[in-house]
Amino acid sequence: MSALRVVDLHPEELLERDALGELDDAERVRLEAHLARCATCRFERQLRADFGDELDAVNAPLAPVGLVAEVLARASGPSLMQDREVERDGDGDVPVSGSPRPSHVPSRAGRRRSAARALWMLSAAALLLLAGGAAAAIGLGGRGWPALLGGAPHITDRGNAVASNQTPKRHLAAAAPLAAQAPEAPVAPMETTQPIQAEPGLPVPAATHAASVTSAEQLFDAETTARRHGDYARAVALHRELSQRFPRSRQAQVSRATVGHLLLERGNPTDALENFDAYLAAGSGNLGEEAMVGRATALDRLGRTAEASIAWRALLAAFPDTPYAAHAKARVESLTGN
Amino acid sequence: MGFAVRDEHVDVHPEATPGASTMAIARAAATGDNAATGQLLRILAPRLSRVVRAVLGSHHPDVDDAFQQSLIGLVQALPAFRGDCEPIGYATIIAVRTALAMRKRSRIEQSRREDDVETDAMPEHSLSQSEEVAANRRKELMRQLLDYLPTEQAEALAMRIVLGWSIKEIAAHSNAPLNTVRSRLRLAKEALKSKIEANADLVAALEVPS
Repeated sequence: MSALRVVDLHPEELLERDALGELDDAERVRLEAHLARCATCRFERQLRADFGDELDAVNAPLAPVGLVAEVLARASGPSLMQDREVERDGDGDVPVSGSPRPSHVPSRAGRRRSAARALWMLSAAALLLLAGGAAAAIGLGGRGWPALLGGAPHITDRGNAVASNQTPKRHLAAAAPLAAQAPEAPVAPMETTQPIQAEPGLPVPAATHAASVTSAEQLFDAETTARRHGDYARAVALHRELSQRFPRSRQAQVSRATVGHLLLERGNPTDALENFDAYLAAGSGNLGEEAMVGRATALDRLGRTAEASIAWRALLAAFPDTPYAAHAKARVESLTGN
Repeated sequence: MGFAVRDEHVDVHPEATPGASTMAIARAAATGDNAATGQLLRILAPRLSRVVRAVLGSHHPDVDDAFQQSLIGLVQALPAFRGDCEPIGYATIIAVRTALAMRKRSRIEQSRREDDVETDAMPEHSLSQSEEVAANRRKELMRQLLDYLPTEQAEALAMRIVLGWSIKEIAAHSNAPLNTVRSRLRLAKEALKSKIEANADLVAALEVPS
């Protein structure tokens, strides 16, 4: 039994036990006696119930479908990392986004910076795991996503992937025949953190921003900034420039997924689909699950029901435990009438 | 696991099946496993979204930014995750801090723009509206209080009232001694008492008979 101590202005333990439904009769009498004269505790108890209802609600609007892609992309950006490490809240005394660990935990800023770089570097390994697991799940052996969608990148002797089609427009309906011709699993290109120069022979679009932007990272940062500021036209234009000048960069690959979701949200499922297809066809990155969800949603919105059904099935086959499984199954049932 | 698509948003509720697997995913994410990081975000995002909305208010203009910043903050804090607490608690602290900071910044900016406006004035509504409206007004009163409390007190009060955590849970998650948490809560509740007294008629009208 919890005892109300003299130093306590309010019977906090009793309120806790009340919220858990654990009060015995004697405790309830004591709590009710306190509540009868304490508006603060009455208000607190009501507020806890109010917020409890809100937090337990199942219908609250939640994460946009492309959010994970966006967060991973932004959290990986070096400029953002620097910003977040120095960010403080309004009082300047508690890190906002830092670890909830206490001050006795040694600073791991260096480790976080390394981890941020590692996010990119590990994308290649994650790709192999994802592609392998997905391929196994859908019976494509080691071919992975590109095989699923057709038009897999060609693997050079140096292990760099070369896109077999610079402007891929592939659809899952064509997956089976293309998969039969697909080469082995692609190896994600390991890119350096150095500025990436424009690749020769590729058209450079008309400048959409300062000519000083010379690296994939800079373009990606500019695109992210435009997106964050709601300048979607500029974000898409920068994405196109990034994809054309640095088609094999990790930044371009992440951009395909994030811009795909942006376009989907902006009511352009056609171009969104093209980006998701390009992302999946490129065969690198760690956002395959997100891209597959986006692709299936885009097909849904385009009214391409047969392809949408196949796309949702492919997602379930590749990611049986996906959080989107229930929705995917519902869509398959709805689209096929089963 | 529930799932629904409304407008452009996807609802997933994987937190209904967390447990050891979430811990394993969080540990892997802490080592830099990018796939695990993405998976962890998908698992925790629904809950964190609710927490951010609860602290900020669903209609706060910065709610989407705060939610995203919370997830980014989580990714950046993951290397320090040692598995000695539940990942959802670890992430929730970040979300609470982010949302509180966003509220404070927003309040400061608003006060600069509207010096003549009383920032804690309650919106004028009939007091005889539905229970849902009453609940929303009670919560808004609480959120306004959070804006003005010192950070540690606001954090403790949010964990206590918004999240419904016990004092022990607050102490564990914020790594503060129990008595320190008690002290912060006591001070915060004194401020709450003042807020209630300043809005006595309103609070009385909003009160639900027990």
